[in-house]
Amino acid sequence: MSTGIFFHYQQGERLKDFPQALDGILEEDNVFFYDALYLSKPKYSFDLEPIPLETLHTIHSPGMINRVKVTGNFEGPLYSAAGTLSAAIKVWSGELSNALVFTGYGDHHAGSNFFGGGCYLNGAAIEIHELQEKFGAKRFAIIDTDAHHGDGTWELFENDPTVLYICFCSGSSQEKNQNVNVHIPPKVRDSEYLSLARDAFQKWVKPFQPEIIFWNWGYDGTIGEYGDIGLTLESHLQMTREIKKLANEVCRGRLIVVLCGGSRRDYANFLIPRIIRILID
Amino acid sequence: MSQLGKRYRCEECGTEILCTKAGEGIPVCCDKEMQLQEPRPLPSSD
Repeated sequence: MSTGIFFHYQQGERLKDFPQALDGILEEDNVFFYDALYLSKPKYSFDLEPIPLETLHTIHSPGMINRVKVTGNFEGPLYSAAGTLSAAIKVWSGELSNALVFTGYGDHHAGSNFFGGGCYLNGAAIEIHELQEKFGAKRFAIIDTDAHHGDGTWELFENDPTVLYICFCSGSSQEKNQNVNVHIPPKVRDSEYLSLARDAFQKWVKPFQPEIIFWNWGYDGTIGEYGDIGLTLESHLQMTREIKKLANEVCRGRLIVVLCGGSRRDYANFLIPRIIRILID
Repeated sequence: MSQLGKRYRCEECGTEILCTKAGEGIPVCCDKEMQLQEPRPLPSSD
């Protein structure tokens, strides 16, 4: 069992204590740390290489990419997606068992020709395309526990039967071509939330038998966060155990945890090291 | 004191190391203290 941590330095508040907050983790023999960027080193010397434009265009329209560039927020999303892509390739090839990717921008509000809500590029979609084209992977699952509906990911995969997308959010329950929306009440207890998740895994993920699982993990639904639905910090750790168990059962443990929503620094400091610990064990 | 998760570089021989456990000292190579590498942080959405 080996776990990869993909990290690039960010200017924002929530990850200010990283990588120092990984005390006790980096020294583990089965942990591999892939970091970027440093002033003294060229961009192309990192494991998180910028994703070429032609690869971005397999998912996003050229017009959208140009609109993202105009916002001035291109390099951050590019390296966030690059972390996910690098993690996917290493997990798929067996170099790593699982991985956690620190991102500065989310995925799931970025569609083929639109973006918003702090999401500019859809890293999960880019990496799935790369795994399909270059490695022959055939079935993928994206589990989205950010508190908000992933309209971008939904749009990208609504006609793609090779990708199972399960979104846990406040929208109404619906199902279309392996795209599943699981309705979460505006306020929910941990036990109810985890029960809905377990049911969804049983009903959709296990029969689908994905070859790799991407978990768009957001902690914005935690009490005191901007998307507060009543979840405790402990619920995220329980969910990690559930999804890791699921990955072990259906796809030999291939799991990539992608940090999505959530803004509190204290929550990041509490949750991220503990989630990595669960991935390692 | 060394800094966890940070990279250090030897200006003499070019050796680069990652600090995986912080301690009181500064890493030394070629009889000189290694230089802490300066990160280049990118913007983020938070």
